[in-house]
Parts: sequence; C-alpha cells; structure tokens
Amino acid sequence: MTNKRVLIVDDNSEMRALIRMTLELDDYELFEAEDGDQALKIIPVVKPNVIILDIMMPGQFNGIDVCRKIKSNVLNSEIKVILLSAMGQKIDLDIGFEAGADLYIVKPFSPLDLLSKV
Amino acid sequence: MFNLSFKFKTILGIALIESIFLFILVFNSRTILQETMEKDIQAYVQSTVSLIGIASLNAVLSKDLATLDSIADFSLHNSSVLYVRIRDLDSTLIEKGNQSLLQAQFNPDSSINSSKTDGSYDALSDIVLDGNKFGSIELGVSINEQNIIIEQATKDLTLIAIIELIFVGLFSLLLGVMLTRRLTLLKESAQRLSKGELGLQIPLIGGDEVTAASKAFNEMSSKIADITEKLNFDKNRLDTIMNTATDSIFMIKIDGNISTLNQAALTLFGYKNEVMVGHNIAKFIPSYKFSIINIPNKNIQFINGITAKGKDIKLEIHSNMTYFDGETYIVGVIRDLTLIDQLQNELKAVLDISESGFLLVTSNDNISYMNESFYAIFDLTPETFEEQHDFPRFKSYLKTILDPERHTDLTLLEKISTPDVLYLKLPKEKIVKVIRKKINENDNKSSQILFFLDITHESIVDRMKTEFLTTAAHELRTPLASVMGFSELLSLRDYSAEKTKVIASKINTQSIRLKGLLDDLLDIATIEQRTVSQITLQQGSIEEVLTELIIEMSAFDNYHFIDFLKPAHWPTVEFNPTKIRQIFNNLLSNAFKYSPETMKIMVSTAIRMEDGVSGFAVIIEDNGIGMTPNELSHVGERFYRVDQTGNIPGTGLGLNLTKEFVKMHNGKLDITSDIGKGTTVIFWLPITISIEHNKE
Repeated sequence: MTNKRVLIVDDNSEMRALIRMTLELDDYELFEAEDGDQALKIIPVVKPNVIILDIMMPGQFNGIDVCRKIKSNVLNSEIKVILLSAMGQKIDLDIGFEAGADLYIVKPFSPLDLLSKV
Repeated sequence: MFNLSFKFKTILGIALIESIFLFILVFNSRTILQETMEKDIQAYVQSTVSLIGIASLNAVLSKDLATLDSIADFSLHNSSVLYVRIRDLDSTLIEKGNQSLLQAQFNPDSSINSSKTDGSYDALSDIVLDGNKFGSIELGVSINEQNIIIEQATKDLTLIAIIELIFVGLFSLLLGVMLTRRLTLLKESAQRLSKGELGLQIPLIGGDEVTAASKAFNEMSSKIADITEKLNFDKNRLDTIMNTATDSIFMIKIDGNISTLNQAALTLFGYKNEVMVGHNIAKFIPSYKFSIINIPNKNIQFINGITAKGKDIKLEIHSNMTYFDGETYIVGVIRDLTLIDQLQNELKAVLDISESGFLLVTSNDNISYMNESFYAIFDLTPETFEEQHDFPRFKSYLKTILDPERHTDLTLLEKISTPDVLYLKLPKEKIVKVIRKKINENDNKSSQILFFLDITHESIVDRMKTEFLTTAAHELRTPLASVMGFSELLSLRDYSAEKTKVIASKINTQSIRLKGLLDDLLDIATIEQRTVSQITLQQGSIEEVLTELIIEMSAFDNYHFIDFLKPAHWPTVEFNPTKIRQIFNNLLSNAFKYSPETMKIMVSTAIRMEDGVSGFAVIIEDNGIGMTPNELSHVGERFYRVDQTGNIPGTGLGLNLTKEFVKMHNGKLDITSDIGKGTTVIFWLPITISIEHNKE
C-alpha cells in the first residue's frame, strides 16, 4: 500500500509550512497549491487521498468552489476534503458541508488534532 | 311762575279768591255804612236847619238880631254844628261858629263825600211863610265823627279780612303739606325706582286716591323688578356665554361700524372696548368683506387682522346676517389662526428639514402633502412628479423603480401599517423603510400618512459592521493559527536548534502581524473617539521610508512585483514616518489584494502646482479588478469592502485609516478606477521647502 497523498491548498505560505511540518514526520506524500485554480490543475495529476483546503483564497475559485468541483466529479469520490478556514461561524460550516466537505477545521487549530484527523 | 309747587299754587289760589271776596265784602260794608250815615246826617242836618228856619222866622221878619243870636248860640250848643248863618233876602243877619268855614264860599253838599274837603257837611234851608221866601239858613255840621267811624269800621273789617286770609292760608298750607307729603313720597319713590331701587314699595295709608296711586306704584315697581330680574338673568347668561367664549364674537352694522364685541375679541386685538365699539371694522380687519357673506360657502373668510401693537394676525371669520330691532347686523365669530399657523409653519419646517419622506394621501387617493425629502428619496422633483398628484400614479411609478430581484410581490403598498423595506434601483441602489399609517384607525376610507426613511447608508453600515467583526476575527485567526500551530509543534516535537529558530521566527513574525492588526483596530477606535492627538510631523524626504517598505513588501509577497520609478529629486515634505509607512503599506497592500491575477504594481512620483502650493505625488497604479463608480464612491468608508465575496482578506479599515492619516499630513488622496482595468491612487503631499534635495 502506498503512502497517503495529501494536497495542501492555502494562499498563505506560513500556513502551508505549518501543515507541512505537522504532517512531514509521518509517511505522507505532500503536495502544495497556492490557490484554487492551481489546486484544480494539480488534483488530476497527483490524485490526492486527502485535500486540506483553505477557503478564502485569491483567484477565480475559492475553497468552496474547489470542494464543490471535486465532489461533483465521480472520479474523485475517494478524495477526502478537509476544509481548514478562519471562518468559523455556523453558516460557514453549513456552506462547507453543503459543498461536500468531509471535515471542517476552524483556524486556529491544533496541528496534532489535524494529524489525527488526516 | 309755572314751576311753583302744587302746594304753593293751591295756597295762592285760595288766597286770591279769598282776597277778592273779602275786598268786595269790606268795600260793600263800608259803602253801606257810609250811605246809612249820610242819610242820617242829611236827615239830621235837614231837620236841624228846618228847625232853625222855623224858629228864626219871626226874628228874621222882625230883624230881631238878639233872638237870632240866641238861636245861633243855641244851635251851636250842639257840638256837631260847626257854624250857622242866618240871612234875610239881602244880607247876612248873623253868623256864628268856625270863622275859616264862614269865610269860605258856601256851597251846599249833596253828599258826605263832597263835604270831605273841609270836614263840614254844608246844608241850606229857606225861611218860607205862606209860599214867600224871607231869608235862608246856612249850616255846617261836622262829619268828622262819621268819618272816624267809617275809617274805624273799614280798618276793623280789613283787619278781620287779613286775619281770615292768614288763617285760610295756614289751613290751606297745612292741607297742601298733608296732601303733597304723600305725593312727594310717591315722586321720590319713582325717582329711586328709576335710579335702580328695584321692587321699592310705599306704605299704604288710608283709602284715598293717593293710596290707590301708591298701590298702583307698588304693583308697577314689583313688576319692573320681576321683568328686570328676568332681563338681567338673560343678559347675564348671554354675557357669560359671550365673554367666556374663547372665540372672538363681534356684531357690526351694515356700514361696518362695530356695535358689540366680546372680551375675547378685545383681548385678541388688544384694544379697550371704547376704542373698538363705534369704529369701523375695516380699521381692525381691513380686508373683511361683508358683501359676500350671504353667498353660500363664502361666509368663511381667511384674512389678516391688525392688533393694537400693529401685528398681523391670521384669522378665520365665520359671518352671518341677522335682523335685530329693525336693523340689519352682521354677526361674526373670529378664530385666531396665529397659533395654528405658527404650528403649521413649525410642522412644515420640521418636515422640511426631516430627512424622512412624508406623503399624505387623502381618502380619495389624492396626495395632499409631500415634503422635500420625499422628492429626494425617490429622485423626483415637483416638476417631474407633475402637479396632479394622485397616489395610484405614484404607485405605478414606484413599481418601475423597485428592484425586481428583491420585490416579486408588488402588492406591498396595498398593505397597511406594515413597516416594510423597499429596495429601489434609481439607478443608484437605495433601501427605503416605509411605514404606512391611517390617520383614523377605525375608518377604512381614512386618509393616511406614508413615511419613507432612506436606510441605505444605515443598512450598508450595519452590514459592513457585521462583516467587519467577522473579517476582523478572521484576520486575527490566520496569524493566530500560525502562532498556535507552530508553538504546539515546537512544544511537542524535538527539532534541531536551527529548525527551532526558524519556527520561533515564524511565530514572532505572525505575532508582529497580529500586533499590527490590533494597532489598526486601536487606531480606528481612537479616531472613532476623536481623541487622537495631533501627530508630530518632521521635515525631510520620504525616500527612505518608501524604498524600505517596497523592498519589504516585495520580499513578503512573491506573487506580485513592484515597478518603482524613483524620482530624480525628492522634495522636502512634512511627515510622520510611522504614519506615512502605514499609508503606503495600506495603499500597496490594496493594490496587491485587488490585483489577484496580475502581478505588476507601478509606483511613480510627480510634482505639480495646485492653488499656488506645490505638491509632491506618489502614484500607485495596478491593473487589478478595479471598481465601479458606485464602489468608488463608497471606498474609504469605514468597514466598506469592495470585495463582497470574502475571498480577499481585509478589515475594511485600511483605507479609512489611510484617509485619516493623509488628512493629518494635510495631504490629499485621489483615487480613479475602471472596473476590470485597475485602480490608480495618487497621494499628494504639500511641499514645504522649495529647495529640492538632489539625490546623487
């Protein structure tokens, strides 16, 4: 069995670095994308098992759009999407789950908690 | 003479009549007495003289003087005989007695009266024998005694008459007094009655005519008292009504002369009764027309009056014609509209300055009032709204300007009293709160007030505040996530010293970012409280600050790059390094944030003159998403964010703070933008020292 492939999508490099450092000790194959557009291009290539997805990002597609696009594609049904956002109100969570997210983690978060969820 | 009292007239009358009769009585008595005495004397004298004639006949014939002498002496024995003369046919034979009487011419007296001159009654008797005359006897008899008697009698009679006259006079006076005393009482009572002693009664004495008159007087007095009391009651009642009425009431003759006014009218005009009554009403209400008051619906006039102080007062006058005591009068009721007018003006002023729109719709769907703000809210002018205001017309206009996406149900304005919100596209978007209220709640056909409040700004500010709190929280969460995450990793895992340093540095960087955000919030709060103290400005060039910042930002964001066209000369300006750094930081961050797809940001400078002041400009240009004119008009408002999707981070405070800081530098911010093409921000700073600092 191959290692889990994790795609980290966040426009904030600090955030990407944090997630990478959280996950790098385990056997994950890590990929990064700076925004939604980039993420959508990478997904068919890397075929991640898990996507850790920020919501507020510059560019054409935000995290919710990306999530919705992934989940609407049957080929991607295996991909687990974890939304990781600073927007923590109930309505934000509702929108996230409606878009098909498997998990919603609100910033700030505990890295170890994220690790256990992944 | 004719004013003599009744009493005096009576006395005078009685005295007059009495005097006449007494005079006749006295005169007649005297005459009768005189005649009686005359006859007695004549008879006495005649008989005496005849007797002497007879006695002396022989002596005369015989010329016997001695006998004649003794006859004469004998005759003179009678004291009343004054003298005696005995004559024959030729001469006096003898004469004796009073010498003065004897020497006077002898004239026989026919009456006593003719003898009064000498007090002697002279009589003559012929001495006759057988029809032949032989001589004559002349005799004078004293009538003094008779005269004295007559005079005495006359005196006594007169005295008696006078005494009687006095008695009669006294009696008639007494009678008159007794009679007129009651008449005087009647007269005085009538006078007292006329002076206002109502119900005055006279004591009734006896049963004569005066008593009857007194009784009649008493009845009359009682009746007058009754009638007067009734009249007074009616008058008082009317006076009370007139003078307690708050409306002014007047009564004028057909020529305009005022005949009556009530207290309210006097108070209203500020005159005394005598100044107004009898004067023409035109003096007080110049434009009052009474020729038209009989025309239906024209008997109410809205005109001005003039008070004693010369003030104009607005009046509503209801007039009516009336006939009274054979004359035509006009009765008018005046209502002082000054207060109402003032209230109306005040209300109008309040409504005029009110930012809320008011629309008054009558029961038959006419619009009877709208204020200035109503026009402003609906982008109307009195001209475009036309003169013929009716509510259906306004409703159809409203339907054309409602945002169809927000209003699918256009029956909104048919509902009553429901506060509702209208979303308008005029084409500028407006949010208008509308409240509809019937003036009379129980009447379905009542006129109604529509109240329109432009809540566009409030709605936006409200929305922006909510967004701000969410965004602010979000903006704090992101750096906080780094701090929390990295510190947790650091505490739970073992990293090399080098790696630990890197992580600690990241934590530090994010902490600094957090501090910056909090500073922004505090700045906003400070400016909000208007407690910001004037910042200290220093003179110099902003080159260092700007260059450093551009290098820092380029390093931080490797997605964009800044094309910085440095000027040849940096002029001297007044600035605060911290604030100027915040200004440029903010402007550049915005350029970055709103240029998600293009990387190039251009920064250049310029120098220009404006209003005699030379200015130094820093121009920041991006080719980002740009803004619509509507968005541009709101930019810089606190909490306002052009990005409504939430994809672009920000607190909505940056540009607002920037503007405040620019103001503190006496500078100016010009922003131009084209949607889809980008935004240009020009920051002008006044140049304080004209000497340019040459940069080598």
